[in-house]
Amino acid sequence: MRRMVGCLALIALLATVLAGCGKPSLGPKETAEAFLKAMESRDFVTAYGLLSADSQASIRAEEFQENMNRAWNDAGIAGFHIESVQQEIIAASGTRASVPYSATLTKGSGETAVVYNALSLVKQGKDSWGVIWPPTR
Amino acid sequence: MKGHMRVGRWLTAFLSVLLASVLLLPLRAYSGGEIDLRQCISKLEGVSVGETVTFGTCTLPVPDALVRWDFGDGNKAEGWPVVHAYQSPGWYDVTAVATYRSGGAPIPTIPTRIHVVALAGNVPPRAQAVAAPQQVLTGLPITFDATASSDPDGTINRYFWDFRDGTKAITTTASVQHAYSRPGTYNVILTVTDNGEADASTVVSVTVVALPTKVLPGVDRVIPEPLPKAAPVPLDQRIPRVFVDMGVYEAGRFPPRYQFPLQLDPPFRLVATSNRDWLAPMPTEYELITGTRIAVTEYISVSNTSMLPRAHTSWGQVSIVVNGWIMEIPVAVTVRGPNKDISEEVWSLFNEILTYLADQEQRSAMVSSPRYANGADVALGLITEYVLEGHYGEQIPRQEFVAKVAELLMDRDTNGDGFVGFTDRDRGLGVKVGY
Repeated sequence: MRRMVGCLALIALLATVLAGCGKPSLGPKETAEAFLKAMESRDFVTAYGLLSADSQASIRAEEFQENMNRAWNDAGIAGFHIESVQQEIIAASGTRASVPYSATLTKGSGETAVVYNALSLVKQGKDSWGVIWPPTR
Repeated sequence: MKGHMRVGRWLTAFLSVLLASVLLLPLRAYSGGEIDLRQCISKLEGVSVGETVTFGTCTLPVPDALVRWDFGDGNKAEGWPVVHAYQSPGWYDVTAVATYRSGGAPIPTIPTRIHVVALAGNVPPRAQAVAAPQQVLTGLPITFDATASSDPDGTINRYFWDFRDGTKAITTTASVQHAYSRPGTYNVILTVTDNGEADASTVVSVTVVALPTKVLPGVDRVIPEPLPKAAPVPLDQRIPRVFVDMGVYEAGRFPPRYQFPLQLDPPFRLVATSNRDWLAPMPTEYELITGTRIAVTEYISVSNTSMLPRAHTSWGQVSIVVNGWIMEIPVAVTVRGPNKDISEEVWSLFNEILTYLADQEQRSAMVSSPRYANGADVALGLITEYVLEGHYGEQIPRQEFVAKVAELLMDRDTNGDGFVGFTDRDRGLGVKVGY
């Protein structure tokens, strides 16, 4: 009986460890890249999932998607292509980071413009990061 | 027992009040008496055949009432005022039914009779009027033109205009200008009188729209301020007119709740002002999202509440001065993107600023600084403009620019020039000379 209990405890421990391994935590640059990739494909659902908890608390998922779709349509943006994502800069506190990037915006008229911006990220928990939205907050 | 009686009395009183309220409810809708039609028709006696009579010349006691007229000759019309001409002599019973647009019991009216007589020599004139523009902002003039009016057997001697805002005008020429100070729809009555003293009337409607009074919450952005005499009035002849989509913009709510097309003809002064100084100087040519190019006389800044990538597509605060009225409105602007690859220069400058900050032991200011939540974004906005604006780059040496951007991020004067970041002169570099 004692052996069986021991086995079950071991299985439970392994399951917990494996579950943790299934979702590797992303650094600031990787999180920013995933966010920008989602923006590139206008996958605002995935983009919302990468926002920090505070940002998510300030705007509902449906509202975020609606706002983004409207903003892009109103600005006549036909395409958003990531050109480069720079190395992150982490603040001395270690809890906040900035990831500069450049992207090409294509307007409905076919005209293109390269934009240079930076995403702000905040550390959440031990190893994961969330994108602060809007980026200047 | 006493308590029960007291409660009973209160209950009876309450029910009485309630019952009285319910019974009196229809009476509350309008208690201003009857509308006496005799007082509201331009002429009751001696009306000639073919002569236009105006029905509804007095002030309607209920402004939003719907009035249906029966002229007694088989013709009917709806409105206040309306005009009608009888085609044969006789007595005609005129009635009107006035009701609330929202429904409910009709407002009582006192009917009247009109006596129409056969033509005696002088044939009455015909009145016709147009207004341009038919929709206008408060304070701006409307031209009323009665040139199309005519008299078959003579000439028109005078034009009587009732602008329906309490002002009237008599002219001998067919055209007159009038400006309204309050918004609303005005049914202007024109009465023309011929050389035989016969007259005819017509109605022309204009809509007056209020200047935007609320742009940003809590701030009154409309300032009735005359243009300073010394102020330059830039007339960019390449732009015949500008359409501005404007609306009430609330932070976090995008896009504005409604759009109001404002058509502006020169001369007007279009000034884009900065609500955040860190992005100045900026290019002096922009285009509205609708595609119309605008030229600005000052620098512009972008709002940091946009959901879009900043620096190139965002909200700008644009001030438009029309006839002494200043309207400050947020507009969506897109800055023309660079037509050359500037990436190498941008990232190189970015790293120089980062190094400068590190030397000052302030590297974190690039992430979030005492002044800006997203320092890197601010730096990139400035770098982009520095690289793109030739005259800006020529007049501020690179090292000086790096130091000034770093100073802004740190909120500290490190080069000892007495300024944190850019001076007023630096900001002016983005403004085209001659505007």
